[in-house]
Amino acid sequence: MARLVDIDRVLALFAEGIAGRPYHIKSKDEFKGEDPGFAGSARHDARSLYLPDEIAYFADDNLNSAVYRLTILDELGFREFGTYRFNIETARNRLAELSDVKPSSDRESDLSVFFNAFALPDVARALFRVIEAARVQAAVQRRYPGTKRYRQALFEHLEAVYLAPRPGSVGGELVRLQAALCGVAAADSLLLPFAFDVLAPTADVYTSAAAAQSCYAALGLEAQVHNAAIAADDGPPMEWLQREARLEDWDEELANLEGDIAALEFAERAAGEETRVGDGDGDGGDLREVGADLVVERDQLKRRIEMERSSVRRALGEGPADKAHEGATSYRYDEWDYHTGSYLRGWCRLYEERLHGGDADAQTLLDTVRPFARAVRRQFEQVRPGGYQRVKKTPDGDELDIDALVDTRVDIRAGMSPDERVYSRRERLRRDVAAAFLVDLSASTDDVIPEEREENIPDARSQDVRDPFFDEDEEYDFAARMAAEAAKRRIIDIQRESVLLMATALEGLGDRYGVYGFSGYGRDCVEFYVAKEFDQPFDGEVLNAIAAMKPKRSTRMGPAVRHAAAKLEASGSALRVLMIVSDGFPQDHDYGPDRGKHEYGVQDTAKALVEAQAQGIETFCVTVDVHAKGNRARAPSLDASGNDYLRRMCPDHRYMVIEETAELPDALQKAYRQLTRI
Amino acid sequence: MEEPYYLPLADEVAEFEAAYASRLPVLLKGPTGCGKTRFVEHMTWRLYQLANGSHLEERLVTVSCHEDLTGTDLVGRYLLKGDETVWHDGPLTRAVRDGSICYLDEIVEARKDTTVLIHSLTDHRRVLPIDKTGELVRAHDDFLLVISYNPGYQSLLKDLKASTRQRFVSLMFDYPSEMQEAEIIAHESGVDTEVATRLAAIAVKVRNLREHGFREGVSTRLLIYAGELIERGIAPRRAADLAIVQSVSDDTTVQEAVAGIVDVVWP
Repeated sequence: MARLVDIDRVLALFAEGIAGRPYHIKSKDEFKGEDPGFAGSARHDARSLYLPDEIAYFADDNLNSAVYRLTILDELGFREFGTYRFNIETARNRLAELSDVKPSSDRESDLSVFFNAFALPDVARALFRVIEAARVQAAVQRRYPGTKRYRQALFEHLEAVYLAPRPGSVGGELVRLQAALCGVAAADSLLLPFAFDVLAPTADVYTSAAAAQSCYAALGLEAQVHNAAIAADDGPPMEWLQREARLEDWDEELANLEGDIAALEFAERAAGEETRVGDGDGDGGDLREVGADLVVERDQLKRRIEMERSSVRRALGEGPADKAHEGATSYRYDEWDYHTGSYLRGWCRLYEERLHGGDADAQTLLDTVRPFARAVRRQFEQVRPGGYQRVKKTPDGDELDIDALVDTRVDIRAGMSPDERVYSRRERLRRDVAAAFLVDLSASTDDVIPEEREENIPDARSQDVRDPFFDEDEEYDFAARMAAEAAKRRIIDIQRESVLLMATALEGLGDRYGVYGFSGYGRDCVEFYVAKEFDQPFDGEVLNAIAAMKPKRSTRMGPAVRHAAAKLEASGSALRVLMIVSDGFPQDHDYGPDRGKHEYGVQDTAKALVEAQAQGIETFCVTVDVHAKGNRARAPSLDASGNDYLRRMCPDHRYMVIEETAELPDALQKAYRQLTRI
Repeated sequence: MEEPYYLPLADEVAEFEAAYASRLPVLLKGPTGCGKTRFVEHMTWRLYQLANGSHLEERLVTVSCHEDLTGTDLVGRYLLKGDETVWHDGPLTRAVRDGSICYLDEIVEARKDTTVLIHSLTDHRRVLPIDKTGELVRAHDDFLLVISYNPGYQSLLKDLKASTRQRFVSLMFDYPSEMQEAEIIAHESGVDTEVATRLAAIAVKVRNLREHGFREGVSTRLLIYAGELIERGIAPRRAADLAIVQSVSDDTTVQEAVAGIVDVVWP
């Protein structure tokens, strides 16, 4: 038996290789549209493939996995072989009987127009679907001939399903047609002669449409009687999938328009005009009028896309969670259930997406951090390895090593065999470190810090005033501004600033590092935000991304730790460090059976940290606990609820609780230096 | 010698000829194994009109750069010979004196001092100063410097400095189209068109996964290796496994996905 949770990562890569773009691999239970029909069948939409949880046709699991791949090819085939490229104008030219069909609105999909041209659109759709699927499968087999043996093996298993007795309804006729098109000789379908063309190499989507027309006619009046039976048997809403595919064309059109407008604006600026394209009140040149037209067109298209996207989503049964993960890659991770002492396989779905932000936030952040940056960076630079070091007595190098040379001459004179290592060379000293900073972006980081001002304001005067670049006025301004804003400072601010400080420091040190954030809501929606990848240079984009770290939703820490560990593992560095910056215990609405208790989340996170350690990753957890401050009687590892969770969650000495948020930068540095042994 | 096989993908042959005519140094950008080295060999053969019996090495000095490569390795060094130290020209100096094409492959891999070294050779001066001997070598009229680099896997540390990059005419390379690649595979490995087409189809799919664990996709070179193994009687799936699946990545998940692609594309 092949299980989806075991191989979904491989299948996702396989699908991306075939289609050239990423797909989420999901269980077919997650498909919120109609029932996917008999076992082995699957569903797709523009971003996801919905596959059976397990496939157990064969004793050999390699064959079962191959059936998964075959299923994926069949699903992707609808796109690859042009089902959604169906155009009603072309259809009108190619199909004789299709004459006077008009779309009811300009958003209606062309397939829908085609189906509605029949008296019984449901029958037409069902016929088309069966026939088109057969055409796509035949095309898949031609382009991917390796699938032939799997389809044959599968066929023997499915033959019985096809030959099961069916009532003499249209539904039964469809199953017989499907079976006959797959090659079941005993299927005895009346419709086969009308649809046989679609198996030919030259067949396209219009061949299927024509075949659907012929079959529809051949069914005659009988169809009308059994119309109701068809509707229940209907598969995925093809018209909607076509509309979804069309959205991509519109997106492209929009991008082109944006490009044209940008080019025009550029041309105008070059011509010395200061107004933006589209602002023109008529007295501008031709350029501006053209621009205004373009802008109107763009805005209309934008609105159309927005409306269409929400309709398509509703029709395909997607929730708001899906909307937020446009363009994200998804991964599944196990979760540790300490109640049963076992892993829940593929329990959490994690979406990885990039953070983007504007310049405005970044500037504020940069202003706040600047006074510290210099000192921190200098601290790290002191320990930076010297770059190059001359190594003596090497067999090869850029200089002769005089000492070694003299020894060699002496040896030769003395009649001994000389040491031939007489060169010296410069060798680069390099640290091979990869560090991942994982920042908790839960809603609670939005909490305003409740401490007295003085303690929170970084004391600008304590900076190194001997620094020739030290600008005293700037520092005073900064302190004053900070004082004014102190009341509004939140935990997230401190987290962002600390991470940025560390980034500045590590740039000086030359270590590779990544900056990530995590949040989410529920096990199907863990969000993992990428501000900076290991090999990405630190630039304005990264700065904006760090500034764009905002409080979001829950704190499901386990999958985020597992994902960051996987990234570190792939980095290939010798020393790998994971630093978690959080503000409390792991928490999510379905993190464990009992919502009010945090033990489940703590245990899962602990397990994830142990897994990371087992992979050779050094972990460290820094928790900001501003509430602990007023309560000195408590041990430092207790959080607001008096829960000594950190000691159970983190390996020994691998955590730190910060009460004053201003300590965070210092704590991070100390921990980092300790972990990477500098 | 025979003409080194090269299938032009666009106008790069004429463009390189024009650059050579004006002795403009050339930078070849593109992913590993897409044919940059072969292109330089082909152009050397064309430009110097190498006759039968001559060798490519007479006119083309290729240096594969690595992170331990220093300026000394390129320019030359003193070697011990009996009781003396004797100056020995490095590959770059030899090419400058003889008027060959010097091809520095993957230049960003080399240490920084090597890239600065070539500056005086790439502008109007066309000279190579040798510190250790105090000599100033004037470049032969036929000398040309060609460098290559792969912008795909640069990190911040391994970017080419703007001051270096802006001394070269840049020719962009990418993997050939599916049909061109099939033609190249068939020519180089001797497999028939059917096999070559399948290998090229696999390559297109595998390159869709460039972001996952391997930055480069599968090179044309690996596809030719697969073809050669097939020609030598290795079963096609096994050949693809040896030359493609195992070679593109060490990540078993990626390997399995690539193996899946090979499996369905191969008849």
